[in-house]
Amino acid sequence: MTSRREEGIALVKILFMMTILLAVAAYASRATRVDIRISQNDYLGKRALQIAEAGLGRAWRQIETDLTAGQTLDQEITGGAGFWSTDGAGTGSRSGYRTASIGSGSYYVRVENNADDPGPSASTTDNDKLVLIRAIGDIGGSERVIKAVLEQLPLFGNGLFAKYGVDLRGGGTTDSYDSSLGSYGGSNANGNQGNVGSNGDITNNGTPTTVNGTENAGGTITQGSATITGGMNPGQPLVALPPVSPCTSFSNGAGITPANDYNSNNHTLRGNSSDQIVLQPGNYCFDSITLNGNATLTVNGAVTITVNSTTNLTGGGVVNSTGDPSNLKIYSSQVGTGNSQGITVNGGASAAMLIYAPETNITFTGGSSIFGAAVGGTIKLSGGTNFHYDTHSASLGGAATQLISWHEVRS
Amino acid sequence: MIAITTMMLGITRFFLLQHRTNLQQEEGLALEQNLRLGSAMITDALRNTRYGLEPANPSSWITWVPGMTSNPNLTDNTSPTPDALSVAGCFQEPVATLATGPGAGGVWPAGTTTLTLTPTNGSDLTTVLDTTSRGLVRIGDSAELALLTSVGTSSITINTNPGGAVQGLVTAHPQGAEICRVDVVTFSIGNDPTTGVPRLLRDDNQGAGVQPLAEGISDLQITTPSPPKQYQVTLKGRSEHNDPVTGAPLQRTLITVVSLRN
Repeated sequence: MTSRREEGIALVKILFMMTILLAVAAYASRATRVDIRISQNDYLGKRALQIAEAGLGRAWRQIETDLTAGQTLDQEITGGAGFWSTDGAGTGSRSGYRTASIGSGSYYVRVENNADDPGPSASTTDNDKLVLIRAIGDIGGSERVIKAVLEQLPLFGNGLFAKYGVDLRGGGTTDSYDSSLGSYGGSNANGNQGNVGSNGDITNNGTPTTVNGTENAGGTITQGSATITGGMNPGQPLVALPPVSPCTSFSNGAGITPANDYNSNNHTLRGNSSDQIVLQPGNYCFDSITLNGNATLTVNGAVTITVNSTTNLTGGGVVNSTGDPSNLKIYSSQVGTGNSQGITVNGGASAAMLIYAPETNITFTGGSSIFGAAVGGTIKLSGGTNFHYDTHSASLGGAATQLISWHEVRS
Repeated sequence: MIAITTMMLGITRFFLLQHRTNLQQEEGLALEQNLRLGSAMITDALRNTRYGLEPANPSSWITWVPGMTSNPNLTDNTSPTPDALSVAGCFQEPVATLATGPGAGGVWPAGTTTLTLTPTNGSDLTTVLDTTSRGLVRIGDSAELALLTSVGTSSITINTNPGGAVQGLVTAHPQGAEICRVDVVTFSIGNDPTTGVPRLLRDDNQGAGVQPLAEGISDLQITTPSPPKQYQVTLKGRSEHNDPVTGAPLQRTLITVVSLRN
């Protein structure tokens, strides 16, 4: 029997136990909340950095897309390219910016001219092929900022460059000169920047070639009996070579003489016998070009040609009366490296041109000389043809870019 | 009464067990947090390294940190002797921008040795730059480096030819080009002199010596699984207190692979 004095002890004990339980639970709950907040902050910080990286990557790809479509870094830094909105907050007076949501976060990315651009009107003109991308990632109150400098790579950074492979044979030579200093000759000749490169292999075959420059290949280099003054560098990083889009607005014949050498129905330009085709300065879109017999193709000013299929510039060859390779640019959208595909060019005293055909063959033949630069799917230099790389063509920016610096901004 | 006492004993034993488990989890969580913090600090520094200082020949520029022969510079030891890692780069916002230069359009021409700057924080340059451990700057985006031979409140005198005759700017720079300070950060492991607990240390190499970064980290091992860009950072931790369940310190390992961005 419970005495009166013991009545209520169970309640006291239970209350005591409940108090202890509540204290333990409160302590555990607080510690857990602190741990969760620490983890959450860590998690959000990492997410914010990843979102900023996403913004940087998006801007980078957009710039390459715009460059491939023919836009310029000037348009990027002024917000003139389609993707960007014009902003007043960048270097100088304008810049392009973009915001986007990713999940519950967002990024703000801005492209502007680098502060170190050495040329005039640096706020609206890119003079050094460098732009600054600033990306801010934001999520849940956590913010990370990264800045990166993007470099536009030259479209013609080598004398000869091929996506799949280079074949040098026939005893020819590569060297360099600078067309901005005048024609090839005298002290402006026999330079040592006649570089040859490839994302694939480079093979030096048959009668020894002399390369006054380096050979750089993503794959292997077979020297054979060739002389390569600058040395060989196999296993190099691959170079991005944006494709050429097929042209669709074919030429209507304007600016082409003789007029009957152009067939506006099938968009082919064909010169026979001793035809002397002349293209007036401007842009042309052809399906193909063929020079037979002693027919020649002459340009007297800045001409840009885009061709969609096989092109044969042998016959009497190409005459660029300006002597400046940048006044005859040939882009080929043809895809395929079969035997009958690509562009074939005969050398000549006035054969100055820049050729960009990253998915098909380019063959230089016929001896004599070619002046300028070429990028092809494959490249073959044969028949004792001498290729004189115009180093000035490296000033033409291409669509490929690379990040040359990256850092996270910490205040 | 007996039943209640037995129940109380059971509950007490249960709570004691729960308490020990809770302590064990607390120790484990604290250790893991420290490992994550340490790893984040090292990987962030590695990602940013070389921004402002190319990997070739850094010792000619970084004279205040002995043996800085590469960037990153790894003192490679075999576990359990921890590695040490030094990285150099511009880790902070630019300290200043070039003021208007004497050339056309405000350009600072090549060869200039004294430059007038606009401090970013609006204050005196001498608070952020000196001629010793804060005496290497990167000028502009072209990665031109310069050692400081004197620092004024709003101007600096530079030498771009370390070890040789004093030389000014190698290339011209426009007004507004950013000036950032190149810092060297060293990560290492050391014991707390009082408690003996191992911890991750960071040294900014600016005279303040090593500073504790995260407690309980007993080993740092760094390898390069895919050189030269990829680094694997392995941190091992040991709890400050013994695990109340096992009676031995808790052990944790965190492995992070990071790719250099520069």
